[in-house]
Amino acid sequence: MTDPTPPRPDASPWMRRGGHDRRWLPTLAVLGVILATTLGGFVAAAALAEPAGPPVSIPGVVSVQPLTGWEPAEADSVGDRPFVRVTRGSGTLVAVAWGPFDGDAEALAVDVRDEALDGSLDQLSVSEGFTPVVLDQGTEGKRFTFVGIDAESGAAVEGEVTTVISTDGQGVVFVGLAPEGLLAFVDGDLHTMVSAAIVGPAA
Amino acid sequence: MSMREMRRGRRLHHSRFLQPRLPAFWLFVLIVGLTGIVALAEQSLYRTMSPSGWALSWFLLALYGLPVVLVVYVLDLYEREPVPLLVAAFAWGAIAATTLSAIGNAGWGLTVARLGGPEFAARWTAALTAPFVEEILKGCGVVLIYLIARDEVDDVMDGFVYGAICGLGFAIVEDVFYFMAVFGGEPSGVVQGFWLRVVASGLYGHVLYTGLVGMAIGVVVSRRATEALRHRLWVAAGLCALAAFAHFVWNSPLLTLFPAQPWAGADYLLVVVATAVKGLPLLVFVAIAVTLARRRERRWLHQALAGEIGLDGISAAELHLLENPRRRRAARRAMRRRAGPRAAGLLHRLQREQVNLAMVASRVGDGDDPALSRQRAYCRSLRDALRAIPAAAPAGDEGPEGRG
Repeated sequence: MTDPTPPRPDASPWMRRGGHDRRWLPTLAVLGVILATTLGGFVAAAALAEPAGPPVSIPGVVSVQPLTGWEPAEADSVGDRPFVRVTRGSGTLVAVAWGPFDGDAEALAVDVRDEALDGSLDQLSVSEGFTPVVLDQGTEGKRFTFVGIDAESGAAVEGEVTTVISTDGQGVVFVGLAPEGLLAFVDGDLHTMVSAAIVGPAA
Repeated sequence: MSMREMRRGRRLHHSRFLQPRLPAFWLFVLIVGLTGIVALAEQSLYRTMSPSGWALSWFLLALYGLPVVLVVYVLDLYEREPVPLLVAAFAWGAIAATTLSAIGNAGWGLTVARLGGPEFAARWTAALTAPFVEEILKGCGVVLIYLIARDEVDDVMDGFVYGAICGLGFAIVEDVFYFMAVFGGEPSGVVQGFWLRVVASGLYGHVLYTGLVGMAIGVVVSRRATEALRHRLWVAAGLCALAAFAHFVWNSPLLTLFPAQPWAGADYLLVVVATAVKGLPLLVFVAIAVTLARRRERRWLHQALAGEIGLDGISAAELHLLENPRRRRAARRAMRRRAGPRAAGLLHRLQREQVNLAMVASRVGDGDDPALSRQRAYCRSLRDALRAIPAAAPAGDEGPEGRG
């Protein structure tokens, strides 16, 4: 189809060329700019999420590969439950070996919420329900978020808990933590590291 | 020549929004349609959260938006833009740009967080993502409107009008989001949000940013005959950079003088001062730029019509009135008093068609062009109709033949 409108006398030679190119090329260019602006950030962020340094692990239970900018921190334990940590600024990812667990990931999430979080955070507020997640290795899990006041420091913190049960029945709990308001700026990395984590005997 | 034929002639430079033969039209419709589903779902959620707060938000924002639309609309002295295209610009800003920006800001925010870490990201993400993501996406809407109705963006002021209206649509929907999601959504929170984001800040935000981006688009597409491409691109880049920089300063922690929360009493006045520190310089710049653009429009009108004086379309006295909006309005008021509202309405139409005559004259180049002849004849017919009304004849226009 050709454009029946005669070109303006002051139109550029490009405009005067008329026809197919004049209508399609600028439109496709605008579409390209919209797509690059809207989705380009995700592509760039994915490209920047490079693994960095050796993984931190509790052998046979869980192994986490830090991304660029994340540093392994001192491993420790809560009672008889060992954990490993990676940090970036005030953002932290903790992977806890919960021990043998009879229930599924949702039951583990309930335990974490009611036992661990409720006992250590004041004014605890937890998201409704649990979101299903699947790790890259295929293990299914559950996720929820929370906000509360740290009973020791008095600081407001927010976090995200992901629970999975390994093939050999070990419970693994990932806790992403940041000061209130900052979780949104680390949750992309947290999701990437949790998804890529290896749980079970292969860890 | 019949009145209908003459009317057809005056449509030479008016483009419709509905242009199904243009891919730009379909891209516009597709994006607004798809993002509209998301936008509707979001508004539905807000309405469910707090019906009274949601209704109050829209009511207050309508009180803000309507005068802004009016001011922007009348800023274009000589060629008011077609309402369907202005509605399209508003819809793009309110629906497409807001929805796409939410996605884009999230993606580029991830990138900032990956590069700078959470503390840096918390302070700077809004300043490093939104100015670029939002100005580009709003600007794309103005470009699409230009591609749909090329003839309508024929000077810098046109670009400003479409850009500002697009920015207004964006600002209103963004404000509803802030009132509901950040200020709590209850009526008291909505009123506090209205004070901060509209009363204290409403003159400085997206209307100005996208107005500048629209001016940049206007510079590129409307000055082909007079300025080299490189020069136009430099000017446009400067205007876009200024819009992005002003948006950056507004979103950044720089020059932040807001009082600590919670606010009470005089704090609300300090908020006004704090927003002025960040926004007033840009407002002054845009006011100067708009004034210069209007002067340029006036010069253009004079040049376009100078050669028409003494022909059928316009007399020297009519041009003298036409060049100054205040004189134009005064002439219509005087006509209304002297000869009634019908005569005033006819004079209004005559003035509008004489502006159209300027556009036809500036585009066709040839003084014998049939379109130009049609437009002259149409102006003459309006003048004759005006003179036929008792008491309207001595309206300050002796007619071209009286001037020789």
